[in-house]
Amino acid sequence: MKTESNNGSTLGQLLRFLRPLRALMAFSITMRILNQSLGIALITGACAGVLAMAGHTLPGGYASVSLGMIAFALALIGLVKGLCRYLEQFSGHAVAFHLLSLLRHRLYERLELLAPAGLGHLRSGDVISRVISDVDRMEIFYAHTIAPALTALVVPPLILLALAFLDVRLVLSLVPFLLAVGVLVPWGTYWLGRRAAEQSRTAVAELNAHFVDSLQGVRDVIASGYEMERLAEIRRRGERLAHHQLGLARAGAWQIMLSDLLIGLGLVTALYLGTQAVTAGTLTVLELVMAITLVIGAFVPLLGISNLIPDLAQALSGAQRLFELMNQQPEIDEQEGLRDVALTEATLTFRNVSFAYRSRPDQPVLREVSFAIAPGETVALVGPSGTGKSTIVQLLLRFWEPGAGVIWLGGHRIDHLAPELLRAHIAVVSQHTHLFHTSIRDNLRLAKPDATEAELIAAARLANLHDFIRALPQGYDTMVGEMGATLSGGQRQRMAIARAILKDAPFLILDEATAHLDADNEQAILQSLHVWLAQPCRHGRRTLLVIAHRASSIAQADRILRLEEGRIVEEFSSPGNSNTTASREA
Amino acid sequence: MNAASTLRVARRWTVAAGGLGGLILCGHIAQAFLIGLVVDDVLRHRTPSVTFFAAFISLLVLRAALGGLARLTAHHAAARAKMDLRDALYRKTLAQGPAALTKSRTGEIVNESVEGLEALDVYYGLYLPQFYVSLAAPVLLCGAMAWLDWKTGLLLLVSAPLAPLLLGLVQGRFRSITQRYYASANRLSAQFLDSLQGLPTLKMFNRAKTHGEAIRTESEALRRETMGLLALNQIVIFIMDWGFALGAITAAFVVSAWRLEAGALSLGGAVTVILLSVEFVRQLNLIGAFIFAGAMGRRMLARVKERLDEPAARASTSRAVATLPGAMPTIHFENVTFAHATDLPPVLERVTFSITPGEFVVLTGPSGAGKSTLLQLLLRFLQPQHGTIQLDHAELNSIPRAVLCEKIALVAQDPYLFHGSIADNLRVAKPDASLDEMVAVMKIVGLHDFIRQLPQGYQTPVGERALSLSGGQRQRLALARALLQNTPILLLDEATAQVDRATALVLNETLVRLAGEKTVLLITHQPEMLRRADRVWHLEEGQLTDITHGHPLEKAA
Repeated sequence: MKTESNNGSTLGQLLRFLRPLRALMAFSITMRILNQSLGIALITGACAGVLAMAGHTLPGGYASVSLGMIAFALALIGLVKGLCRYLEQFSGHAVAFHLLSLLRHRLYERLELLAPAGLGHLRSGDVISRVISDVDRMEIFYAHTIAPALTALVVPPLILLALAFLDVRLVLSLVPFLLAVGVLVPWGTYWLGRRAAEQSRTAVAELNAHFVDSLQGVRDVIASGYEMERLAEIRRRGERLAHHQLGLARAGAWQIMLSDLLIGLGLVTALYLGTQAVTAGTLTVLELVMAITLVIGAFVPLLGISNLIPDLAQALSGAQRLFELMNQQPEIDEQEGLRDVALTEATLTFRNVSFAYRSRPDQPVLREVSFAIAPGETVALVGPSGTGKSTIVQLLLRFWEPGAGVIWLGGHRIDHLAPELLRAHIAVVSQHTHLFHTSIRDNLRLAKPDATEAELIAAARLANLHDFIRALPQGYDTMVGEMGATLSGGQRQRMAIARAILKDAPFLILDEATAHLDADNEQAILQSLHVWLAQPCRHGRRTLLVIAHRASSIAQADRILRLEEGRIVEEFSSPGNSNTTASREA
Repeated sequence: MNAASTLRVARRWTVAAGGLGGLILCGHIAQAFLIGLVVDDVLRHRTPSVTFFAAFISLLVLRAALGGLARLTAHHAAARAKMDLRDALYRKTLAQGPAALTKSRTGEIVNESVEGLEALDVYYGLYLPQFYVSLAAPVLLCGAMAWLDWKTGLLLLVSAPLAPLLLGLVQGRFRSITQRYYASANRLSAQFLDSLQGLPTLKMFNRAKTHGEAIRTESEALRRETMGLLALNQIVIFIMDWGFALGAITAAFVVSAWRLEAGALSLGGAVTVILLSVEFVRQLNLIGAFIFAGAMGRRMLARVKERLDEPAARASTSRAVATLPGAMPTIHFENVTFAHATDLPPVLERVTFSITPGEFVVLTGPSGAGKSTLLQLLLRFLQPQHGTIQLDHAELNSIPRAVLCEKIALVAQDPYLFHGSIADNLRVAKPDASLDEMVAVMKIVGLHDFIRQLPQGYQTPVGERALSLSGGQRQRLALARALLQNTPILLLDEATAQVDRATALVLNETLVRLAGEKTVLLITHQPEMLRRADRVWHLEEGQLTDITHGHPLEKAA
């Protein structure tokens, strides 16, 4: 697949999304810095306060302070700190949730452009995993990484500055520990956990895809006695995921151990140097206590980022998976092409069209297929299963691009038309009808959002479906979500036919559209379809292409095209006149 | 299996992680004491000894090691919880059968079983152990203070019940948020799965963009709502933060200053008390950091529990029979009535019939009459409201699923094929099938030649739902799979509807030949199969009519 390579790093792309919200983000960062600084002030103040009460002189020479004053100051600091924390959290989450929603929408837009050709290599469960859970992981990046990272850059130097007033040696001894906890350990953790993070994300996606497969196929799993194997496979994949996550946990364990140890050692060093300074008389006891609390406080902002490294590693590999999808170039540029042309008549011409799926380039599906269909004609396309009949429809809809050859519709090359315009002229009833999880009415309206009730009913009547719908307790408002429980295969096909009629396009394609219908229903529908086809639409005469195996389905065709091994091998005109051909071909 | 027994192992790991957390807290308490000792030492103009520093460093090493251990323990707690729950959820789905699974729920159950369970990482790994520690912290910390001066400890213990109280309050407040957030995440997942699988349809109708807008509007509305709730509920965090800074640190300052003056506490002791109070706040902050994720995990667990407690769709077996006596069982429906819903007309109304071993029965009827439903009843995917279904006089409900699978195979109208290779899909029916066995059934359905010319042969991947195969090929592969299952009864639901004419004729011959060896119940609209069947039944408006002989099946009074 094609991907844009010069799109910058994953991190850069994530930050680019942040741009419109940078003011809010900056606010969140400021609040966090204030919160953390005040937190340290609170401990230092309380400890120094106790000593001041015992008669030790505060730095700056404040000799007498009352208990009430200090208690009030502490309570005030606590209040402001709490307020800062609240604002930091709220603004950080506001940014994150906003961006999550934006990312998800961008992904949908890209998926729409990619489908179906560009998504062939991905499983639905995998895509869902990217859209839902990988995007969710970005919350860690936007709400819990940026502000802590900047705070870790700002607050420790401030503390070092304060410490420098007390004793410069303490500052110098603390710097290596701060660098180790703030830079070395996080970097090492990321390096250690990066692969495990990637593998975990992939394992989650695979598990998701496997679960979708297992759920959607649960009927066949049970009916084939495949339950135990399927369960065992879910367990196996779960264990694989746990194994990769153990790798992450290991990296996290190292991070915790080393950070805790280094912070403790930093503290011990400060204690050692501090006590010596007190003995030497260069530091007062109160200053020592203040120094100790400052040292403890200096590490807190660093842990805010360091503790998140395993999660951040996962978020970044999630981001990679997101951008992999987002940067993928669609098969067809849906933005381009003519939009304002009128297709004169519903003619269709395939000239020397060849096609092979990119995954199997050595196996051409279509080989130099040429045929033409005139307006108002009804043409049947027959041939053994797997010879590329449905592929012809896919190419016509520009879901795929042919490898060679040209397709013309209504006097225009289809690759010169905007896909939207092209698709507006074609109504397809495909082999597999996808009905959305909504009401019958909404599923029909898909074809014509502003359809009136009368139009809906007329289309449903033509598809021989109206009486059935009317008999339902909720009529057209019945939900079709229940898989197969409320709608039979034939009813689903009739829904698709009604939808296609409602679309009122000049070019109608029925791809095995009546395979699941009983003979009476099929005949009734075909009869009414032919009456309907005979009425000219706003684009002139209607053209029909029927892909079918049954003799009854193609009996009314003007001509029959036969596709065999990717080639048009025979073309019969007017099969109705010759029973032998019809029975041979049907 | 209910949620509690599923989680037994995971709970043990969680308690262990909590215990380790408690020990780490003790390490922090010890550190506060050591700092206090240093302060007292320097006040007496003494520098701490080398032994002191050695002890301090040993403590640090021990505490760090415990920290690493706690992280790994937490991982095991979360990993076990997720795996065991995932298993239980799929078992539940299997027990409920396909009829209980609606389209909307696939996305939801996936979200619950995979993404949702990943939310338990934080819950089991971080939140729950920390929750235990936070509950124990006030007692431990006040105990430590009491050791220095019992009055200080007792006074500060007054604030101890505040911790569980506030935590309880926060959790209560978060319930509404998480419930909503959870429901919306589920819905979003379901909606995306539906849209994704229907994208070609949406594009065909030029509706993909507007559909995307609809999803966006909905998720945007939910985001606003979530933020609104969050704004309100984070005030609780604010109160917790401030309340504790005030309640713990300020109180510790006031109390220790007072006890210092009274001479009950040394200066170093006072510093220790304040550092301990900071630890108090830190423990609560730790839980505050995971509060949202923790609440999500709780909600998730509650939802999973609800699902695991849902009744299985199939009636529980009264008395299970291990095997069926006959190699080829007789199918018997006695007075069976079934309707999809009480307000819908019944699909079958007091239907009674028998199919003897080796019979070839064709079932016809208008689309939507309930032909597929009849097969689903026979497979026990649906339960009749009235009447009994028997195989060889054994009540269908008393036959274990495994035995049923040995007797009945199904080729559905829209057979489901799995992601994997052609061989993988065939092995669904017989996990240990040899290549020869696979070739044999593929020859019967006329697919072997096609497979043979593929470069990877039987190892060729078929893609999701086998979408890389044509409709006819999918049906034939499903038929081959059913043949490999090697059952005496074969149910075929328009199994050759999408197969080309020439192949269908060959397949029909095969089916006719198979009948006799097997009992075949075939739903079809093809006229010539009607002629070749032993019996032809017509299903319409709940009534089954034998049209081979032109009279209705005997109807129970």
